[in-house]
Amino acid sequence: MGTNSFRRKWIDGKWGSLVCAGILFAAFGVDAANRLSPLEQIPIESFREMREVERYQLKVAEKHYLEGEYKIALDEYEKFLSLYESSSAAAYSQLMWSHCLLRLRKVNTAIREGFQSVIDYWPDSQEAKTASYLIARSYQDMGEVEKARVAFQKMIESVDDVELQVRARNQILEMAKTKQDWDEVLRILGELTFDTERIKGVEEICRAASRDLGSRLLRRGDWDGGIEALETSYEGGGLDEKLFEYGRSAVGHLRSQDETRAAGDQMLAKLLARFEATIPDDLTEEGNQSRARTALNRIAELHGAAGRKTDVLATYERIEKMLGVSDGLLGQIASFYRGIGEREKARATYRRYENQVAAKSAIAGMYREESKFDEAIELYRELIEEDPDRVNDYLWVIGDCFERKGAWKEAIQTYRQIDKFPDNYLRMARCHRRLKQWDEALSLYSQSKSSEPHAPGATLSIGYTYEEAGQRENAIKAFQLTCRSYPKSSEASRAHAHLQSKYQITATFGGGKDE
Amino acid sequence: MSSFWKQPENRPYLIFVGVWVLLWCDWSAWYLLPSWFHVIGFTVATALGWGWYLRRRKQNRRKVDQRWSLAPVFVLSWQWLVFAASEMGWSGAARFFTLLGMSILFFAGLCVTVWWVEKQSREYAVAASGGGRGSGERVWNLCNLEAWYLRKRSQKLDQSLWTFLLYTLLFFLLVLILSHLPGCREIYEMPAGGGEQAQLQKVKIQKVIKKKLVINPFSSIVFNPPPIEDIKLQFQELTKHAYQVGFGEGKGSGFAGGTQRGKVRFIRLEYQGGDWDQDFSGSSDLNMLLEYGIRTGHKVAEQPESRRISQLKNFPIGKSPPFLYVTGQRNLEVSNSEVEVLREYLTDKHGMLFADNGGSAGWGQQFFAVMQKVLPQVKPIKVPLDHPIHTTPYPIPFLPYVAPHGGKDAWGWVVDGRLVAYYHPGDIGDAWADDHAKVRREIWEYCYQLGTNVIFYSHVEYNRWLDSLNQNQKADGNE
Repeated sequence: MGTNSFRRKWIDGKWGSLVCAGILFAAFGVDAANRLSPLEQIPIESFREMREVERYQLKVAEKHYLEGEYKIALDEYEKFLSLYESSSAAAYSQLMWSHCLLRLRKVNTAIREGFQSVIDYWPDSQEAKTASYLIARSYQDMGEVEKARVAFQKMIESVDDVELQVRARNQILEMAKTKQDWDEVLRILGELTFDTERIKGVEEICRAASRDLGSRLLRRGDWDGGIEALETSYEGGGLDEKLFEYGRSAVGHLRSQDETRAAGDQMLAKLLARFEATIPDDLTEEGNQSRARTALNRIAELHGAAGRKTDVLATYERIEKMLGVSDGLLGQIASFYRGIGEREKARATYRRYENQVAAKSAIAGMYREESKFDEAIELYRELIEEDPDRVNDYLWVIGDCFERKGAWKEAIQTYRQIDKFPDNYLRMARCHRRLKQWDEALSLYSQSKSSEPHAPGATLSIGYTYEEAGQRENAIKAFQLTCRSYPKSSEASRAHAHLQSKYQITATFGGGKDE
Repeated sequence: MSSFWKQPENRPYLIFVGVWVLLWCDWSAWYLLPSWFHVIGFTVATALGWGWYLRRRKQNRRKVDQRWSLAPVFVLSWQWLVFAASEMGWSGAARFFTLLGMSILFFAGLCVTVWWVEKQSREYAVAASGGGRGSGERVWNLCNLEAWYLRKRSQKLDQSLWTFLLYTLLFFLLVLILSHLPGCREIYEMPAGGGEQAQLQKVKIQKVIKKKLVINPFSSIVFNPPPIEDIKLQFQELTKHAYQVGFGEGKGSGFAGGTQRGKVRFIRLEYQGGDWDQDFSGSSDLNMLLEYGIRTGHKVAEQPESRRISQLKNFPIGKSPPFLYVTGQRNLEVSNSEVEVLREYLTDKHGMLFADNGGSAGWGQQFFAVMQKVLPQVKPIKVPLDHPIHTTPYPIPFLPYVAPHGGKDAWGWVVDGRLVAYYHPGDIGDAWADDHAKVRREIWEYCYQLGTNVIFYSHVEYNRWLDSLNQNQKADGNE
C-alpha cells in the first residue's frame, strides 16, 4: 500500500477522525488528554490537516504548556506562528499563546494581543468563537463584571455554538449570584433547565442548573415548579433522592419563619405522602425491604427536619415492627437521641446493639465528648481485651483521654506503647513540655525530624520548647533553622512571624522570584 | 446688633470677628484659600487679640472686666493651637488641644453661669423683700427662687441642679457645632500638579553608528575621508524622562484635583483585636512614603500616620484619603458599625485599602472575611500582572514578596472597574524597612516600586473620580 492510498484510506477517509483522535491520544499521552480543558483542545479537523512538522512543533509547545512552563510554551507557540503562518492550526496556536499569557497572569495582554487577534485574523474559525468566550471570561476574572456581562451577552447572540452559549449563560449566572440578583438567577436557571438542548459537553451544566432551580423553587414553597425542574434531569429513584435532599432542606427553611410555616407544613405533607406511596405492600419480594427501609428512613428524617420528635420515634418503631431491629436502625435512633440531647437514652440504645464492640466504642466516644475521661478509658481498656486487632487505635484514644484530663505521665506511658511513629513521639514531646521536662521533649522532637513531612513542625516545636525553657538563643536558632530549611512550609511562615514579633529579628526567605 | 454696628468704635471689632469666622470656615470646610494665608491670618488674629487684651488690661483696672476680656483671647489662642497642630500634621496633638479647649470652656462657662445665676437671684431676692412679691403669676425664671418648679424646702439646691442641667444641655449642643472644628473633622488633600498615568521609561543611550563610506580608489572624484582616529563616538539620548508622574493638567508633578497645601500621606488603619501597629514604630511606612516622594516628585507628609476605622467618618466626601494601609499577623476584628464605615469609605468616598499580610495565613483569611462583610456582592480576583497597578509607573515583572504568608498572588476587589482593595500576601512592608528583611536588593526594590504603584493608582483613581464629580456639578449647574 503506497503512502497516498494510506492517506486516502486512513487520514481523509471516514476513519480519519478516529485515527486523528488516536494519534492525539498517543502523541500527548493520557495525562495530556486529561489535563487539557475542552477550551484548550485543538479541533479535530484542524489537526487532520496539519503536516507532520507542524504537529511536532505543536507537540513541543503543548509539552511545555502541560508541564507548567508557560514562558517556554509561549515562545514555542510564537515560533509555530512564525514558521507556519498559513497552517490550519495557526488560529489554535494563537489561542494557546493567549492561554499561556492567562497562565502568566497577563490577562489584559491576553485579551488585547491574543484573543482579539484570533478573532481579527481567523474570524470564521472555531477558535474565534472560543476566543470571544474567553475574552468575556477574562473580564470576569479581572472583576470587570459589567464588561463581562455585556461581552457574554454579545457572544450568546452572535456565536452559533451551543456549548459556548451554555458556558456563557453559566458564567452570567455566577455573576448574578454574586450580585444577589435572584430574579436574574431564576431566569437564567430556567433557560438552562428548560430551553437548552442537552448536547454532549453541556449536559452536566444543565443538570446542575436544574438541581439548583429545583432546590430554589422548593425553598420558596413552589412544589410543582421544583418537581418540574428536577424532572428534566432525573426520574424514578433518582428523582425521589433529589426531592428528599432538597425537600428536607426546604421544609427546615420554610418552617423556621412564622410567615412561611404553613407553606413548610404543606411541603412536608406532600413529601411524606410521596414517600409513603413508595413503601411496597409485599415485603417478601426481593428488594422491597430495602425500598421500604429507604422510604421510612426518609420519612423519619423529614419529621426530624420539621422538629417533630414523637413522629421520628414513631417512624423508627414502625421500621422495627415492619423490618425488624438491626444495629443500623439502633444507631440511627441513638444518633437522634444524641441530636436532641438525651444522651442516657442514646447510650441505652447503643447497649441494645448486637455487636457489643461497636456499642462500647460508640458509648466510649460519647463519654469522651462529655469529658468523662475515666469512664471512657475504662471502656476502651475493655475493648482492648475484646478487640485486640485494633489495640493501637484504642491506646491512642486512651492516651488522648489522659492528655485531655491533664494526666501527662499516664499519657506518655500510653503513647509509648503505640506503634505510630512519629505521631506518638510528637504527642509524648507535647506532654513532656507540659511537665517542663525540656530535654526529653527536645530529644523526641529531634527523633521526629527523621520523618520528612513532620520535620518542619518538629523543628518549629523545638524552637517553642527552647523558648519555654528560657533558652532564648537556642530558640532563635531553631526558628531561623525552620525558615532556612523549610522556606515553603507554613511552619516557616509562623517562625518568621514569631521571630519578628517576639524578638524583632528578621529571618529571610530570600523573597519572591519570577516563577 | 444694628445699634452696636451704628457705634463707630465697635465696627472694627465686628469686622475683625467676621473676617476671623470666614477664615475659620474656609480652613475647616471651604478649602478655597492656600495654607499660608491661614497661617498668616490666624497668627495675626491671635496676636491682635492678645494685643487688645493687654491694652484693655492696662486701661481697665476692674478684675471682672479683665476676666471677661480673656474669653475671646482664649478662643483665638485655642483655635490657633488646634490649627498649628493640624498644619504640622500632629493629629494627636490637634485632638488633645481640641479636647483640652473643650474641657476648659465647659468649666469656665459653668463657673460664669453659676456666678450670673447667683447674681440675678440676689437681685430678685432684694426686689422681693422690697414688696414686689405676690403678683400671683407663675414664675418661670430660673434666677428667681420663687420659680414654681423649685421645691420650697430645697430651692437653692434645685436651682443649682437645674442650672447645671440646662448648661450641660446647651454646651452639648454647642459641642455638636464645634465638632466640625478641625481636629474632630479632618481633610485629606492631594498635592496639586499634573502628569501622565504612564510607565516610567528607562533612559537608553544609543551609540550612533557612522555610515561606512566605500570609496572607490579608481573614482575620478576626490574624497577626503577623515582618518579613523578622528571619528568621535556620538551619543544621543534616545528617550528621557520627559513627562511628570501624576494625573491631569497642572504645573509640576501631582494631581489636577490636588491643592497647593496637599500632600500624599501614608495612613495606617487601626483595628481591634490584633497587631495593627506591627513595625509601626519602625521605619517601613516612613521609608515607603519618602521613596514615593523621591520617585514621583510628589509632595509627601513628613511622617506616616494612623487612624481608627471610626475616624474615617470624619473625612468629608471629596477630601478623604485615597488609600489606607492595613497590616498585621494576629486577629483582625471589625464591628458591624465599622463595617458600615469601611463600606462608606470604599464606595461613597472612593477610597482604597492596601492590605499587607504581615505574617500568617490566618490574618489573610480574616481580611478576606472582613471584605466579604464590607462588600458582599464583590468577589475577590487575582490581580493580573499587567493591571495598571502592576505596570504604572513601574512595570513589575512578578509579584515581589518577603515571605509567602498568604500565598503568592495579589488579590483585589473591583467595584465599577476600580480596585477598592489590594491584598498583598507576603509582608511587603517588611521589605520597606531599613534592613529590607534581608531579601535581595532586586526584591526590595520591586517592593518599593509596587508600593509606589499602589499609592499612585489610588490617587489617580481618586483624581478621576473628583474630575467626574466636578463635571457632574458643572452639568447640573448648566441645566
